[in-house]
Amino acid sequence: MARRKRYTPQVPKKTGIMVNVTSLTDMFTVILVFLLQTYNTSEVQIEPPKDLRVPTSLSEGVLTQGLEMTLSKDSLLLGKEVVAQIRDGDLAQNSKDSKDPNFIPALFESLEKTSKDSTVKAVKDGQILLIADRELSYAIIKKVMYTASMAGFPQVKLITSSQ
Amino acid sequence: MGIKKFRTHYEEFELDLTPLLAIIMKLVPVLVISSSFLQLTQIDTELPQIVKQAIENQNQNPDKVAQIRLQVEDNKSINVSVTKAGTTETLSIAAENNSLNLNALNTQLVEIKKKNPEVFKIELAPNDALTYNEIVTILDGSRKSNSNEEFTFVDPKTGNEVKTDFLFPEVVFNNIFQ
Repeated sequence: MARRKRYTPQVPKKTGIMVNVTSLTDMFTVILVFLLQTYNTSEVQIEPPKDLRVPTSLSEGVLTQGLEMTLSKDSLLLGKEVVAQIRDGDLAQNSKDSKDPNFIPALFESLEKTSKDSTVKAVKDGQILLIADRELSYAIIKKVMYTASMAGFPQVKLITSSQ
Repeated sequence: MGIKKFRTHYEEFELDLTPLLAIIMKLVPVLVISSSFLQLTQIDTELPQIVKQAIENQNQNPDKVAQIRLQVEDNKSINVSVTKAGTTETLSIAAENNSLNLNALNTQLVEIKKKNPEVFKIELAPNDALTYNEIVTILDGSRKSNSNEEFTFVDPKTGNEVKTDFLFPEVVFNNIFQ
């Protein structure tokens, strides 16, 4: 007696691997929304140095054009150029003027040169964007503002991070 | 007699998400590069036109409106002086736990603003030892009231009463040349 063949249902064979991308799309949509929220539309892009912490403020002002001046714990930069060194929260001795302790000669010269060479209206008008470390004292900021005023840059805009 | 068709399986609508995923895959790197995770702002901002006019009016007629001066001392106390018609009133806000008493300062500035709604500018004379962060908190505290109170002042150009939530948005550092 012949043995009965075991019944096997006819299952159609899949020709390719079907990957379910729904969850991946969900994840990417969330990332996309987050990135669109943090997208910066301001015409001015400022990147403070890594070791510099700007103060937080309630101000919601959009950045405007101006000459970038960075005051970190160890140096004073005009654009990318280092114009003075800072030691223990104050200007290094060789960066100060012997007659006027509030005057920074190297900064004055750089500002005058930049003002002459620049074609940007905001720079010609004397606007400075001051990116300073939150822990620096007013004494050093005062010296920078004093020298900037003398060099024809009376409008100092303080750069802060939003809360 | 018609033959009834039995449903052998559930029909599912399959949406092909592959092109959408391809677009997102291209968008994400672009946005990651151009996103700024540190949102920077600036303090000296554009003010409403009427407030700007009031500030200009104050600059042109400094003797007609009150002059408000904040002086921060070594011990973090703040002296607020208001000079109007030749007389000066001064009051001191004591430090709280060796730090600036910003709530008391804001309350005091609201009272001054109520008496002098046409004034939008103050002079700030911080102490040399004050940190940049503390100066920014003073600027924040003198810009708007903590309780979002509104003040009514007369527009110098039209003579109409206008409401604003600004206290003293224009701050001048008056000890730079001292």
